[in-house]
Amino acid sequence: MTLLGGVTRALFPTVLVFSIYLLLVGHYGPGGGFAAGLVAGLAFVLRHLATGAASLGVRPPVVIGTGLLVALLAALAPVAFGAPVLATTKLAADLPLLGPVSVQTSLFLDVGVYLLIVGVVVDLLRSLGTGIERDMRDAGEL
Amino acid sequence: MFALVVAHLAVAGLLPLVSAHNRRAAFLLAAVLPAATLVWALLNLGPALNGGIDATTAWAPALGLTLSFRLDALALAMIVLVSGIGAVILVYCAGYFGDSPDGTRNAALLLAFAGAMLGLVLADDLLTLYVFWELTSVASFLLVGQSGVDRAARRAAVQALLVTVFGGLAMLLGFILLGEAAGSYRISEILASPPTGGIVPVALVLILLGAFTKSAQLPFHPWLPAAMAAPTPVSAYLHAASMVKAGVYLVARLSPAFAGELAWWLPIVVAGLGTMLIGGFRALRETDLKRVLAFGTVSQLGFLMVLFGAGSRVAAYAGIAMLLAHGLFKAPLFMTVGTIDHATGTRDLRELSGLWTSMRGTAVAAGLAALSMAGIPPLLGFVGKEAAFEALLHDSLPAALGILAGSVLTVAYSARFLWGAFAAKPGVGPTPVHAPGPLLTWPTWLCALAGLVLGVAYPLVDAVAAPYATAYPGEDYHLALWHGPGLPLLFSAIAVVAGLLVFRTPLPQRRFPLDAQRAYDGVIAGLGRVATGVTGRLQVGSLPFYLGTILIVVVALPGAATLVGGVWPADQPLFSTALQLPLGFAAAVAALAVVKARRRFTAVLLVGVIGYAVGGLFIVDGAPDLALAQFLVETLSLVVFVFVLRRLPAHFTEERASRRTWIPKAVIASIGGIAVAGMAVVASAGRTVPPVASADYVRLAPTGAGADNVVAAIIVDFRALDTVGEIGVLFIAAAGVASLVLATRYDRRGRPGQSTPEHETDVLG
Repeated sequence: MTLLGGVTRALFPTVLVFSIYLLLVGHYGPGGGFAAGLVAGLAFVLRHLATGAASLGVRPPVVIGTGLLVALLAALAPVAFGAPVLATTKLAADLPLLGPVSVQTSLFLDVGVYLLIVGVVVDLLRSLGTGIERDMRDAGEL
Repeated sequence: MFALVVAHLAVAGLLPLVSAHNRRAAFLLAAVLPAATLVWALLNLGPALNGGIDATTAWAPALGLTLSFRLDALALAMIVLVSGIGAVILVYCAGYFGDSPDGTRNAALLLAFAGAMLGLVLADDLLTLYVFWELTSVASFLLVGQSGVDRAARRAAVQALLVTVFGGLAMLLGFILLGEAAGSYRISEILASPPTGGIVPVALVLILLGAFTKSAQLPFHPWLPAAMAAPTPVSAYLHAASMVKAGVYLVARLSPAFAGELAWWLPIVVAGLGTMLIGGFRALRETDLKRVLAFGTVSQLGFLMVLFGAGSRVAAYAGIAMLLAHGLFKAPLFMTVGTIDHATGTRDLRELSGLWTSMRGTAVAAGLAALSMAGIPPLLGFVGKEAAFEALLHDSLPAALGILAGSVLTVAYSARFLWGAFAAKPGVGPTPVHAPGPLLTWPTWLCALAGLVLGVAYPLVDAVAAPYATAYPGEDYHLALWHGPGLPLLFSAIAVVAGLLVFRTPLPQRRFPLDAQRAYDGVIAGLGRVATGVTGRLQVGSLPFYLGTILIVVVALPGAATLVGGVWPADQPLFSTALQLPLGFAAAVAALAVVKARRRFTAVLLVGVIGYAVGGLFIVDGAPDLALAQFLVETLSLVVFVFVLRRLPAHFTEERASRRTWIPKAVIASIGGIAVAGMAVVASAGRTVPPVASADYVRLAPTGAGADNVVAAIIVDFRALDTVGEIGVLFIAAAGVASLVLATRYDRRGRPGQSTPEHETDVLG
């Protein structure tokens, strides 16, 4: 295993967890769905550089579509409760072990943005990374 | 009423499930809903004729949008055509399509169209009407194009769509102008107190564009004969009985308020008379029975336009009678053509012969309908035409003479149709026939007989026409079969005699010098040429050229505007924090170095340095969110650049650029850079009052959005719609990049035929 491979193995999950943290903290400090999605995407870039794998386990267009769908559903959901489109509110609950927890419903829109950005970055890896590599192999340049 | 319209669309969506088991049953099931609509309308006859019934459903209250519907006399007359004839034709379809696979699509589309058309005639709101109007255009496109396999059908479908939607968009503009001038989009309110002067004539002309294209008036008429590529029941329903009447209906709807406006009645009467004459003339020269009827429809639509545009009470009576009569005679005539086509395999009147003996029942029904079209008593067509002559003789003699000429042609092509379809022709043997089933003959008979019954029972039609006609000025009138001897009766007699004479006279086979179809083809081809020319000029395939064009436009337009209107801030400091100096210096040095870079990789890294330096400036200015996004995007772009660079030569073009190329480039680039920097400084000084919105954002973020981070509150709450729009753009961009990068490799390899499935799997992952 190369040094980069070893480092990647340790960093990849850590960076993903950090991206989730950025997603959640976005409402209270620097972060948010866009930045978090880019951080998670960079984790995939790192893994791609180390191992050449661009796979996410699912097809990137599906992730992009899911992100857009989540965002749209989050935008339209308030209508079901008689509120205008894109209205937000605070959901609070008393969870066991964790204690009182509250979340702003706009988080769901941010989750959609996060998924979409991750999908876009992995799609770029697939088309520009793997795709160009295959092109070069086909052309006998690699 | 909205529920009724939605029910049509919902059942249409479910019909394919029925079609999967039995296609015939799907048509019969589809016929139930229009039939029920007709029964519902007739049950509400009393209140509908005495003032009308209103129903309103909120659509988007925040935007003031409502779905308003109204059942009154005019809507009722249209429902007889839309739902009554619709139900009959759907039954006919069961016999016509039988078990052919086309039935699945047609059953669902025809019912959906019936729903859209019902919504159109019931709409009491200009925007509601517009929505249903365009829905019928879309349904027509799909029904004409059918499976999309036939080239002629595709061309006809596109022509119908382009022409009617062009008119529809003009009409929308007219609706908005009219609605704003009237202060209301409710049609009943606009009719009650019509706006005048100012922008109103422009609005009316735009609305007429929509009505003329939809109802195939001169010079937009060629799409209607072309649409005869559709299956005959579709032509009978959409392109004879209902959809093409939408334009006539719109004129009839608005005429009570605007018949006095020159911009309204003059185009209607001129285009209507012209259409009636051209259509009738062309009908005499066609040899395809369906096209004979199609030009006949064009002609009759012109006639109806004149009647509703004339703006007198008698003309309104005539209009309603002719509206019903036309639906009731044109639908069975089309069904007859479909039956003949089905029974003999041809629609060419030069090949058909002796059908009078072999298809006696169909011939009698068609004869009844054609007599109504020619205006022979005691059919409804005669009742309407009598009233029309009476009205126009009273209003304007030239128009009456024009209608008389049109009626002569109508009689002539009616005779030509009957002769062409059924007569035994010398030199042509009897056409072999296989007998049509009852599902084909009964619907034809039903419509043809309705024309006879309503002609004899003219007081019924009179009762429906009266509440509509009273909205017009003029002396009172009543529809009748016998008004006593007079000019109208004389005109009717002249039309019949002269018509038969014209039918007997051989026509000169000279081509008409002006052909609207060629004009349409020319416009479409011209659009293509202009697009090719413009694309060829702009997309020359040189990146420096693209960049230069963009920079020149930036300098010429916003740059000039800044020079004229901008003010250079008096107190512009060179820097605000000491930290800005090294960051700005780094960015400037990197920018200068990029210009001198020989290797692509060096250039990319230097551009990255500029990006990071700008990110640093964001931090210094206290914008951590912006800086974070900037750093991440910069990193990602570097990676993407590196990916792409693998496919590009390591160095920029080796040979030294000539003076003639690099000096203009350098000048444009320098001016562009200076202009943008100058605009940034001027724009930053543009604010003269404290920003209200920003203060509100800061104040409301913790309470309204539950966020400590104002930037996040703006992105996901205050301006969340922007965010949704932006990720939509990203979605499209990602799909575009994937298609460009992955799909083109197959085109390059040039393996046509295999490319599509392979690249589709690649793009989808």
